[in-house]
Formats: sequence, C-alpha cells, structure tokens
Amino acid sequence: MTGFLGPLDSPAARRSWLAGLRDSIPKATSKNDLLDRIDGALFVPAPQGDPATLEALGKRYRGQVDKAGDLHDRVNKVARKGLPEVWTGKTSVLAADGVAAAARAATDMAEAFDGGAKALYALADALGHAQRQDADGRARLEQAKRQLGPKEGFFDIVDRMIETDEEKQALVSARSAATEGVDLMHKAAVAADDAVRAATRDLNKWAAEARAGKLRTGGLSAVDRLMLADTSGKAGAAEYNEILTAGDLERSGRAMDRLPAADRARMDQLLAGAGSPQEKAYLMKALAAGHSVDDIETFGRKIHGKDPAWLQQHLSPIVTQGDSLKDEGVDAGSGANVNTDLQSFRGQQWAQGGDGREGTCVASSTVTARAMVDPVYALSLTGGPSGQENDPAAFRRRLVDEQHRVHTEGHGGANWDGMVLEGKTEVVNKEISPETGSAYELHEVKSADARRNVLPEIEKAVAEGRPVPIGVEGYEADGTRHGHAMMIIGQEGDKLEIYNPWGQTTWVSEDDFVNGGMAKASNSQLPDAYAVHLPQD
Amino acid sequence: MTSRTTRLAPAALLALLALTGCGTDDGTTGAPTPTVGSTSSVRATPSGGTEYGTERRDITVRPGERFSLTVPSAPTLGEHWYLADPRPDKAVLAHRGEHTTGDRSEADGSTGSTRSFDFTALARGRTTVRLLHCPLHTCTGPGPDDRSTLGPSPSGPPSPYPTLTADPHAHGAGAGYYVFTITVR
Repeated sequence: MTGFLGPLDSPAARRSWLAGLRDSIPKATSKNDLLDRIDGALFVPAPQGDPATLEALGKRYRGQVDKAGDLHDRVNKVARKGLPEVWTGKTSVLAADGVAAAARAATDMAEAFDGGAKALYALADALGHAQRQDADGRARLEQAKRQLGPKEGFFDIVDRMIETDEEKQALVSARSAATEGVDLMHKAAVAADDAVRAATRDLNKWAAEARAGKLRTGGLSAVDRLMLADTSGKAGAAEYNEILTAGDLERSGRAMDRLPAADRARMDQLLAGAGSPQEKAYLMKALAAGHSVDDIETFGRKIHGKDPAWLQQHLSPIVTQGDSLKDEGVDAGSGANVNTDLQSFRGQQWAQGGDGREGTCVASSTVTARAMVDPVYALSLTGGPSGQENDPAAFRRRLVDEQHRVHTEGHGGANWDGMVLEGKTEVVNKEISPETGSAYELHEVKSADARRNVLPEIEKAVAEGRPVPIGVEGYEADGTRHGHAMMIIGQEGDKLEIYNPWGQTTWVSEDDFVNGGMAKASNSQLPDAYAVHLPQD
Repeated sequence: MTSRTTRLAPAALLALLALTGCGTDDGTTGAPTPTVGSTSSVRATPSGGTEYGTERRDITVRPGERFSLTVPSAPTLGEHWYLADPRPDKAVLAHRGEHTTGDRSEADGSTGSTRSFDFTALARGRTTVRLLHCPLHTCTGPGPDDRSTLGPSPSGPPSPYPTLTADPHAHGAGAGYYVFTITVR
C-alpha cells in the first residue's frame, strides 16, 4: 500500500465530481453523451462507513456517561465533608482545590463521553440516510441507462443522421430520470461529507477537552495534573479561557520529562512556591513555549504573588466572554458582527499601529498570536522590562515597535503598508512556530471546496491551542483588491473565533468561512478567506 | 461582555453628531470652517471628469461638469466615509454615487485605496458637501458599552467630535467632517 489516493477517494472529491455532473447531465444533447455522464456518476463509490458499527460505538460511549456521573457524585460527597486545609501533590495543591478540580474533571469526562456518543449517533444516522439516498439515485441512473440502450458506434450515427420523434422522446425521458438520479447521489455525497466533517470536528474537540490526560509526565502527581489542566483566567467564561491549551499541556509535560535533574528540581520548586493555581499554570505555559528554566525563574520572580486578574491582564491578550457566541446579527452598514469584543490592555487595544492606522495587519496579528502562546513574550509587551508596568501608553509604544520589527522582518511595504504571502510565511514561522513547536505551511484556499477541505486541520489546530493565520480578501467592480490578515484562535461547535488586528474578536460560522461570509469578522469589502497557514505536526 | 461594538447606522450617527453641536442645518456652511487647500490634489479622471483630493476644500466647477471628491480610504484599516447631512443642494449638485479604487496591491494590509463621491454640477449656485470620516472604532453611540467613551487609544478623542485634519490616516485623528464648498458658475 503506497498511500496513493485516487481522484474520487475523498468525500470532498466525490461531492465536487457529482456537482459537476448534476450541472451537466440536464444539458446532455445526445444519447452517447448522456450515457457517458451516467457512467461517470455510477463510477463514484457510495458513501462509505457502517452505521451499525458507529451506533454500537456510540452506545459504548453513552454507557460511560453514567459511570463518570457516579464518579462526580462520589467526589462531590468528599468535597461536602469539609476538607482540612492540607496541601498535596508535588506542586502544593490545596486539597479542597484538588477535589473541586476532580469533580469538574469528572463532569467534563461525562460531557465528553456524551458529546462523543452524540457525534457518533448523528454520523450513523446521517450516513445511513445518505447511503439509502445514494442507492435510490443509482437505481434511477440504471433505469435511464436501460431506457437509452447500448451506446451507438460511429457508423450507427452516420447511418442514421436524423433522430426520430420516439428517439428524441426517449432521450428526454432518460435525461429526466438521470437528472433526478445524479441529484440524489450528489445530495447523498454532500450529506455524508458534511456528517463526516461534523463528527471529526466534534470528536477532535472532545479529545482535546480530555485535558488532564494530555499532561503526561512522571514528575507530577495526578492532582497536580488535574489542577494545571483545570485552571482558567479570572475574566471571561472559564471553559473558553483555560490558561494551558491541550497543546501546552502536551508540550510542557514532554519538556518536564526532558529537563536535567537539577533543572527539574528548580522547576518543581518554582511550581511549589507559586502563589496561585494561575501563577503555576503560566509557569508551565512558559515551559511549553520553549523557555529555559533560567528564563522561567526570572519570569516567575516578575509574576510572583500577583493576583489572577493581574496575571490574566498582563499574560493573556485575548479574553473570550461567555456571551461572545451569541448571534446578535450584523451591522447593516459594514456587514460586521454586532457581537464583537475589544481586546485591550487597560484600555489600549491589541491593534495594528496601536489605533488601527497602519497597514501592518500581518505583523500585528502575528505579534498578538505569539503573545497568546508565550506569556514571557506577552509580559515583555504589557509589563515592560521590569514586568511590573501597568501603563497602557507604554504598552502601546512597545506593541507598535514590535509590530514594526516583525513587519520589517517580513519585508513589508514602506510606511508600514502591507505584506505579501511570502513575508507572512516567513514571520509566522519565525515568531509563532518556535513557541508552538509546529512549522506553518501556506495553503491557498480560493474556492469553497478548498476551504471546506482545510477545515478539519484548522479545527484540530485551534482546539490544541495553535493559532491559524488567515488571509481574507475582496474585490471591487473595477478589480481593485483589498487584502487583510487575521487569526483563527478558537473553535466551538461549528463556530470559529477570529482575532482581527483591529483589536477585536468575534465568532463566524464554518459556513461563513467556506462560503464568503468572513465580512462578519471585518467588513463587507473583505468577504473571502483565500489563504491559511496550517501548523504541521 | 465588557466592550462590545455598538456601531450606529449612519443616520443615527449623524443625528448624534448634530446633537453635539457639530453641524449646522443651513446647508451652506460646515463647522468648523473648511480650509482652503492647494490645487495639487486636482486631476482628470479617465471618464472625463475632474477628481479633487482632500487638500482643496473650495472648488469651482462649470454647469454640467462631472467631478469626484476622492479621499484616502482603506477597508483594511476598518474606516468608513459617509456623505453626511445636510446633503448638498439638489438644485446645484446631483450625487451620482460612490466607488472605491485601489492600487491593485497583492499585499495584505495595503492602504493605497481611495473612496470617491461622484457628482454632476447642475446649475449655478453654491452648496457644501460634508463627508464624514469614521476611523476604526469611532462613530459609536452612547451607552454602557459605548466605544466613544473608550477611544481607540488612551489619548484618543472622547467622542466623534468633528475635527478637520490634513491626513485622515494620521495617528490620533478622530472622526471628523471634511467640508467642501462647491461653487457652480
């Protein structure tokens, strides 16, 4: 097996192939032409997968929900007994906090099993329906073939230049049956493709949500791992603002295991001495971003004893509000989502040029993305060299200086005006990749099919905490192009969270991403996603 | 949610600005007084009309002449331009429409495009054209989530008070009217 994929091996290719035939079969002008197109449709394999197996798997997942629920109830009982103020774990976790985290983890586990079961049931249902619809379509195509009879050879056609009324009628009737048939097959292919994508997206998401298990290091106790995975920033919804992403948990666990013994002891000491679970989580995030223990010690001194609100303000550029997913419609004038959140440090937005007046969207989205994945870098911008500053004006100067540095690094235009894709590839790889451990590769996605095809990779990347740079564009009637750079930073259900370097975030649907609805994240002159940079594993 | 966009429809926005005493309703003057600029921003358009930039605010045209007021406007910067009330005297000028032209750059973030407001001079007389420039995160309404009380920068303007600036893309420039006096003779 070489791994070679035929032209119709992917659901997206089958969907696209059948879409072409759905358009061309009604226009077939001759018997042979129609027969060729019918054969082209029948050549496409039926939607693959066994609904019964999927349903059985869903049933097994559902069976685990009650077990996780029981576990939650038992842990809750312990919590209610009134735990003494004792410390546990290698990093000194308050026992009561550990038990509370365990209860939340049990709930998360139950939700993950339930979500996984729902995803599998939905896929089984959709696949079963699509297979039946596909079979109906094939039956009609076979019927059309029978009506037409065998293909005519060259001499048959020459011998009979004039088509009889009966033959014309037979062609019309067969074309009608074939049109219905290919339409059913296309609908089945679309339904199967969409169902597979939705299930992949949901299962990936639930897998990423199994957070405590990502932190695989022998050096930390189970309660340490639970607490680190459970810790969120103070503002915003806890489930959208976890400090350590799934990717951070994996990378920090690996980094802990690779540390020499002396460094390992220093790291343990740093964690044990941290003033809050948030402080501890940011230390681990710094480790995940690839910093040395020396750097983390310096960073640790700067943030030691700060309250969770200060830590979030200085170390997490983006806060996702609980109501940010609510659809409040679009602004009639600009086409942008009404429900949009500003992202600021003490009133100063994380915006290109500081106030949106410079064409450094590529550099600016890159700087913010790096600050999202690296708290040491974020603090250098917000808190300055000492890490203790709170001045938004000074933050603005440092932010803009950094945007200019990255703009220059990517050979951006004079007067801080624009950057082409080659430069963007260079800066995202120089600035973000070292922190996330994944190189970025450019994918041009100028068609709906191309955008649909990259969605699973986008979903997986952002679920693991790796931002995905996205280019959007729009054209005026005279051909004038407008291009803008943004960042996909989150995913929830069929929604993608977008950071726009105008200093704001909002959510768009995956359908918006695929079908030219990106204006919701900027304005109506920038509707189409045309390029994404995907992290490579 | 602590800081939500509350963009106003242009009509509501203009009503708000009128309440702040930022405009007059006699249709002939703008506030503050327009600056008479140089002629360096005048050029012919391919369609045979004349195009005026932001540097020249006193413009004289002939009856029947087609002309455009062209302002720097980059969708990638999140800014908007509106033809503001009071509209120009319909007996003197006809507003033909608006269009955007760019530098055809392939670079993301390129700011080299312009927005043109196209007019035809109808009959002798004098009128004003008021263009409202709303940079990113300005032109918002009152309320607890009002961006106008936040400003796009710590030192930014507290409200979309109309000010004239030579360069719409200058840092710190807030929302403002660009008032053009058009004489047809």
